[in-house]
Amino acid sequence: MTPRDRSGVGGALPAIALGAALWLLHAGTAAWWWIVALPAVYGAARRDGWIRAVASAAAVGAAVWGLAFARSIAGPSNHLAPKVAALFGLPSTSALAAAIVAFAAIAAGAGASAGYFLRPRGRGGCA
Amino acid sequence: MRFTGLLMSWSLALAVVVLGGRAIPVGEARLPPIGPFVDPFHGVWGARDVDAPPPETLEIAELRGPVDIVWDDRGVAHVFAGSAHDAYVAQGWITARDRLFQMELAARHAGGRLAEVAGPAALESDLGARRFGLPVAADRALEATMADPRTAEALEAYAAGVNAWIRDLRAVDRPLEYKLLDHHPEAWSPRHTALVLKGMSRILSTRSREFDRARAVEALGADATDRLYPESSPFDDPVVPVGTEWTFDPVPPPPLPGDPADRPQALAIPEAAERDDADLALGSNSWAIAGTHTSSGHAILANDPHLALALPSFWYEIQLSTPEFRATGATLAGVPGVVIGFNDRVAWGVTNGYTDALDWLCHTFDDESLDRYRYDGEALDTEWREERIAVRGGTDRVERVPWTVHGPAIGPPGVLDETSDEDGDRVPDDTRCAARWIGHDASNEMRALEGLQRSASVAEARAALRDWAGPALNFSLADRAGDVAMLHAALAPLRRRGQGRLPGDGSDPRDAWNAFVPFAHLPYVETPEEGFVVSANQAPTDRTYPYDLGIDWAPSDRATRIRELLSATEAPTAEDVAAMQTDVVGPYARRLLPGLLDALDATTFEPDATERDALEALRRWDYAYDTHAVAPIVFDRWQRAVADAVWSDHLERDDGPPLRRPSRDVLTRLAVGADDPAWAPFVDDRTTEAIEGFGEIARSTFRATVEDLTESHGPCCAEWSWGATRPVRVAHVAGLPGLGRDALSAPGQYGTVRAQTRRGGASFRIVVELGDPPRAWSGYPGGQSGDPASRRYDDRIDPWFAGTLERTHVYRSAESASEGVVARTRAVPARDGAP
Repeated sequence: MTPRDRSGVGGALPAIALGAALWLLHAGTAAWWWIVALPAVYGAARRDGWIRAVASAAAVGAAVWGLAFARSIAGPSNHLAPKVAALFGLPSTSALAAAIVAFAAIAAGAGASAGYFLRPRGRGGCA
Repeated sequence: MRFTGLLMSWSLALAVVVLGGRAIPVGEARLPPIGPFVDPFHGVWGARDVDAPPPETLEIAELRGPVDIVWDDRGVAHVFAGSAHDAYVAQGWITARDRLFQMELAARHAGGRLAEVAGPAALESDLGARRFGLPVAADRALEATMADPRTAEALEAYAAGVNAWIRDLRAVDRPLEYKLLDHHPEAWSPRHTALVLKGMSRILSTRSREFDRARAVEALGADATDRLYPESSPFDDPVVPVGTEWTFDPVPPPPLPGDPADRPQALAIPEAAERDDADLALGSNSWAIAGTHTSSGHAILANDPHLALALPSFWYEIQLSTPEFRATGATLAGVPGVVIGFNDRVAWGVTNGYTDALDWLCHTFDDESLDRYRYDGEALDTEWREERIAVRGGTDRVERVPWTVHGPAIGPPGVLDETSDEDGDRVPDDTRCAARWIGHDASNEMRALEGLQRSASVAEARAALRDWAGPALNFSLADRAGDVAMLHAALAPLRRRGQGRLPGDGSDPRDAWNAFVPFAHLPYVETPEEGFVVSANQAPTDRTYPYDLGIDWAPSDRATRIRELLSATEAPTAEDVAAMQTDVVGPYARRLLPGLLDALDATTFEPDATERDALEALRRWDYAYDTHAVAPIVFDRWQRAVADAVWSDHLERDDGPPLRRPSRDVLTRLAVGADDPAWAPFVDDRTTEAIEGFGEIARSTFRATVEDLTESHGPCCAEWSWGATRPVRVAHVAGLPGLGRDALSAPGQYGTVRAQTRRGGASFRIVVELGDPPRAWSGYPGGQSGDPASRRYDDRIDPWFAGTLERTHVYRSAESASEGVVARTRAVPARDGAP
């Protein structure tokens, strides 16, 4: 692993930190829009290219919301999830999970992208 | 490039934040803000575990002493309190914990305040409630209820309990529906309870067919109208057995001078038709067997009120124990006390009485302003009531409703649809009919319910019901001594025979309600010789009863079958009685089908293979509407087709909607007596030149029925089962998709003891055996919790559809309670005495 190679553990650390921060912020406040705001900070602070910043933020966002959803429907919400899916016209709980994960991925990716374009010129630069 | 990327990225990110945080309008409905709703930490998934054990201790400031709550394995709370006040506080807290949304919905529905949280989609419902004066009715009832210290205390204590729950409710823990509506529960008050009761009264006591009858008289003449819509039927099997002697001197109705024939039957009114909803078809059964006629020697009472099937269920089970009474059974969410149930000595049940509680009295106003009208020879000013309806996401709707001495002048049905413009301004007309409804009179039904809980004998229970004004209900009663009784409880207008059949003259005080049937003269039967009393919404009496209570009773089918079952069962047990509640034999089919088959046989009908199979199924049928049976669907469709063929050409109107269909009893009489010259004109199809006979109708309709069934369900008879072709739905109480249960298969039909339609049926079943201690079994199609996240939201549906009842736990004290106990809560007054 070289300093420039961020595909390994070293490259994953910021994403893990992003995930942990998202989890903590979500758990600590009633605001849902951290799923956009925190990836924006991440996108602005990281030196990755645009694709890597957006992709990793989207993956982390999807993972955080997906895991939290999975955790809640494994417990108190297991009777609720199929009903909410039907309420929104979705065929199953899996489809609902997919929709939630997709929403989180889009929100986090959009946030990271917005942050990325706020970087001063020369810090990572345009792809 | 960079600028474009910046612009697009920020646009997308802002769009996610802004749109994700806003409610999404879909037509007239609104989807909740998607971001906070699906946020897995605080959204719909973040709520408390509603199935977690209840707290072991609890502080409620309004309590006067400690209250023990024992929770059983059916999710039912058993309250042990030192006073009725504290029992009702606890009941309010417990009911709000399980049914808060349903309670608020019911109160808002009756109060015409749904649009305030649901937006324009609910405006029509609110307008209906406001125009009909439901809030006015609730306020009058509330005044009477609060004037009585005992009932005032009950309502206030209950509200305090509800509000204690709301006070501690975190936003994230609100039930799903509140999150969908993005709404926080409003504080409960005694007025909310009054509204819930009036809402139920409206469902049960506002059926009126006066305008329909007026149209029929105009179109068909009085004789044909009397034949098609008769005052009684040869199949009647009244609540008070035929032949009962009336042992009182009846009060004469107000005299009507002059020749009745000279009297105009009704003012000229616009064409309009009232609606009947066959898919809903409300009714109820209740019977009680004297101790001398049961296996155990104890009286047994059974009750199953039929309503629209809904999630959450209308009913909520509870036990309330105080030093003054111990009542167990079902209550309405939002109402303190037990509505259907039993104490240690008395059991009580209800069926809808259907006494005519609504008359339409028509006025010709002085002019189109509707500001003045005549009554008893004098000109009176119209009382205008301004109803302001807040509409979420829209502008307030202001509706001015004219009231006369009789009530809100909002009839005939449809007149407001045609004359109100978008802003609620009236388009001029000068004829309106006022609704004279018993529910608008001040009354205190809570006192009757409170009295029932405390009664120790049938006689005391009857006395408690003196306060019951409406809706008219048949109260079945049984006591520890083994006696049983049935009382038709109502504040019943003292009418001339026939008064109220047609819209009356609003200016004539003789058409108004000037007096009421004395309580002691109301239909009542106590421990008759046959040993049982039966009510299934049929006529309360035969025509020898000296008062006119109305004519729109349910057919006697269910009552007849219950009597038949009781007569055939020697010394029934409670288990026998529970089995009777799920009997699915149809007396209507048993009467009509042989006539249809005879008529078919009398023709030159040569069936093809499919028709032969269908006919064979009918001939072998035992008249049981079982889910697997084929004959019920063939008969059901066939009799509908026969009714269409017989009535359509006579009832269709060029100038408006068709006249109302005559009852099934009338169709049966026609089928059985088709050769009677009096019926022949109705048998003939007036749209053809030929003179048809009933055999031809039977043949053509049978052929069409089989053809239709083949087209929709394939060749006879693999897919023709009753259960598959008549799916039943238990809808969410607010109609939200996904929160109900669809495509359920259930036996029975409207006319069977196990009454079942597509959307309605037995909303609660209970059997009580009044030994010492009493034993009871119960069930309903729902669950104790109204929260869709709970496993108790619909856990009773499957047993209910299977027709099984669960044992009702009755505990003597909190300390001695053991069987079925899953949790205990001790509620105490708040230590600092403040909420």
